[in-house]
Amino acid sequence: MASAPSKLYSDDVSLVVVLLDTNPFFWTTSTLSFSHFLSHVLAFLNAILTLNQLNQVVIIATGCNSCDYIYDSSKTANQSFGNGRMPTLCTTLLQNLEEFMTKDEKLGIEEAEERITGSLLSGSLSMALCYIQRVFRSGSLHPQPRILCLQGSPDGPEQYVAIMNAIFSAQRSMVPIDSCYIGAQNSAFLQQASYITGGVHHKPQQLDGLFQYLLTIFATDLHSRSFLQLPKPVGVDFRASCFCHKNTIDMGYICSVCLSIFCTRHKECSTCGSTFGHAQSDDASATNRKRKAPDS
Amino acid sequence: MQKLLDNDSSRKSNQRVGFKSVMISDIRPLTDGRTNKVTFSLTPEIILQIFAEKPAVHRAFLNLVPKKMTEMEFWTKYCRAEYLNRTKNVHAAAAEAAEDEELALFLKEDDILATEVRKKIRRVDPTLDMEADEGDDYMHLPGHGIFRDGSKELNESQHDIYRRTLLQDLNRHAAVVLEGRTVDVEMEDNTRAVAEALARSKQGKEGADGNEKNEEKLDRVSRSTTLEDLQPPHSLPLAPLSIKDARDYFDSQQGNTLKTSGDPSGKMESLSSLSTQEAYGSIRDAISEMKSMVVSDPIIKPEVALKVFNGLTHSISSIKYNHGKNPRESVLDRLPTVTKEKLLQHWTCIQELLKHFWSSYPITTPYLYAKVSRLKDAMSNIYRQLEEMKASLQSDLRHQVSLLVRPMQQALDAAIQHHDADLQKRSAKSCEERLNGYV
Repeated sequence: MASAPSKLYSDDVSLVVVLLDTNPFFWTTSTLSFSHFLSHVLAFLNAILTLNQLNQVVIIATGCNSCDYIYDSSKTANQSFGNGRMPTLCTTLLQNLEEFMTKDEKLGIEEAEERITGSLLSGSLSMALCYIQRVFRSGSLHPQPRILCLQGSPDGPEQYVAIMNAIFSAQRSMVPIDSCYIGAQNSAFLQQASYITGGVHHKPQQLDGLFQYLLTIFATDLHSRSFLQLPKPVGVDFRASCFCHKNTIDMGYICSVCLSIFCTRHKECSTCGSTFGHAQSDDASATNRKRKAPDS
Repeated sequence: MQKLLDNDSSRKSNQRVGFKSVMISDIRPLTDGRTNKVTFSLTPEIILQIFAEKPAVHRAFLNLVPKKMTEMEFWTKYCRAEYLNRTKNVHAAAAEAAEDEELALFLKEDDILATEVRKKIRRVDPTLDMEADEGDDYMHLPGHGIFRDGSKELNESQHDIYRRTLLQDLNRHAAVVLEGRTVDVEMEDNTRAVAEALARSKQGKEGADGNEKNEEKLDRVSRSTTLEDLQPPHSLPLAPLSIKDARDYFDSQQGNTLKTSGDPSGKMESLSSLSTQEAYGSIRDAISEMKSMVVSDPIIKPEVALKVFNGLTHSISSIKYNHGKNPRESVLDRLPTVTKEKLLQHWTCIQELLKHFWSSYPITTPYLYAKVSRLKDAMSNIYRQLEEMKASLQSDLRHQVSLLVRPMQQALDAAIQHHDADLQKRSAKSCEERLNGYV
């Protein structure tokens, strides 16, 4: 694919693509209720739109069975108060979100046998990147795009390859992925995503103060970030998922041809088909292992 | 026997006879020597050859005979034209052609042939440089040329259309001979029939030539006019990544998902007890709650906001001072200087001892034997010192130091083990030797 033509950014206009985790299995266990979460996020989005008149916000819902665009500030006429109580941003978003949840549930029923409790982060990341690519290819002056993941569900190691591919394509098109993880344990995927693409990763300690975190850390546009001191993670969890069993591993075997990762020794690479030589002994193979330990 | 012969003869008649390779121009007119009369003798065979080689004559014959003139008249005219051509009297030929238009037909350049030739030229590989060898025939140089009928052929520009060169004749003849006989002359002794049969066979052939020639030509042009150094390399030595099963590679493995999602979070297990319906229901409730609710005012309590700010400021400053300043900070730097110095000293010491130890093997002389045992004593000494150091440290540092010391101890262990095993082997051997010696 030809890369987008040389980009002319307007340095203070942002295009923020927000990936909203709508995994119901997570939200029913979370200490922060979904309605509170939404009220914080909606206020934050309104703040972004008021920071600059040209700022654009796109919201993608990350469900268990599907992902979809639920709001695009460039499509809906802004500033018109629907019923006088709420901005249109809220009403349209809530309306679309409700429809999305109904659809997502139906999809879940169809494949009821195997239930995935993770949310499809890889899908929504890809959709966000597609949207940004479309913006790159239209018009000459682009807003500065960035992706913000509001994720709560734990990592789905089965999506490892897809997510890493999305991360690398974001890195290539210079789109930073910010991530705010509100789940219990930390997410290795999001840490790596932000680390690789030069975004900010943060795990708020005070969930009831989510709005303050969002506004302080994630509202700043890319240009202003060079002047600001934003929180940096102490370390990044670089652990990978193996391709064979989709387990998260800190030590494993790597195909020297295609760099596929395996948790056990194979005679042949299942990805590229290269046959591996025989190790002399168990000791020797143990030294060949590459350690990928979490830094934190 | 008779049958065989019959077969043989029938086969003979079935075999098609090709054109004679003799050129018609070689058929000399006969002069009787007394009068100025010239006699040409034409057989059906010759006529067919004339038709084949000169399509214009063929066409004229079909048009003129028998409507405008008899066959006899036609051939007389033809022979007259040939005679004029042969005498090389270009000026006479031009004069006669001006008087008689039918005669001119025979003298002029064959237009059907000309168009065919043009077609052929178009079919020539367009990348061929035709001008490169244009001068190779030497025809344009004085003193060069082809001898024919005792006189030299020279290129003359005047009245060029009434002249035919030997090369043209030769080429045409060769083409016709190669094409082969398409009409059986023996069957048709009537000239008219011969002419018509030839016309039919030609029509069939022309239909076969299609338009694809042109496309092929364009294709060839594009293929050979590409500049190689501007093209991307054709065969890079790369093996395509052959992902055996893309689904397996990209998609989830459901069975493992459940297993793995269970282990990092105890929570997920508890929530799987919750039914899907309930979970979705609660989310929908939350959404409708939001819909009815005006955005809460204030969204966040000031105290909470302050807490967040304090927390963020603290973490940013701590990261800045502890990690920003020394990116390559190691575990050693966190230890007290004395311990650090000691560790480093022990490490260099151990390295040196081990180097000497392993280089002494295999032990061949009593000197080496003594050296190894001295080294072993030194090593066990250091081993003890390491243990002492670990014990003397505070508990919070002990773990860090033991992590550092462990590889040193492992290296020493291996050496000492080897020493002991070797010693045992030696003593067993010497014991055996002693036994052998006495018994």
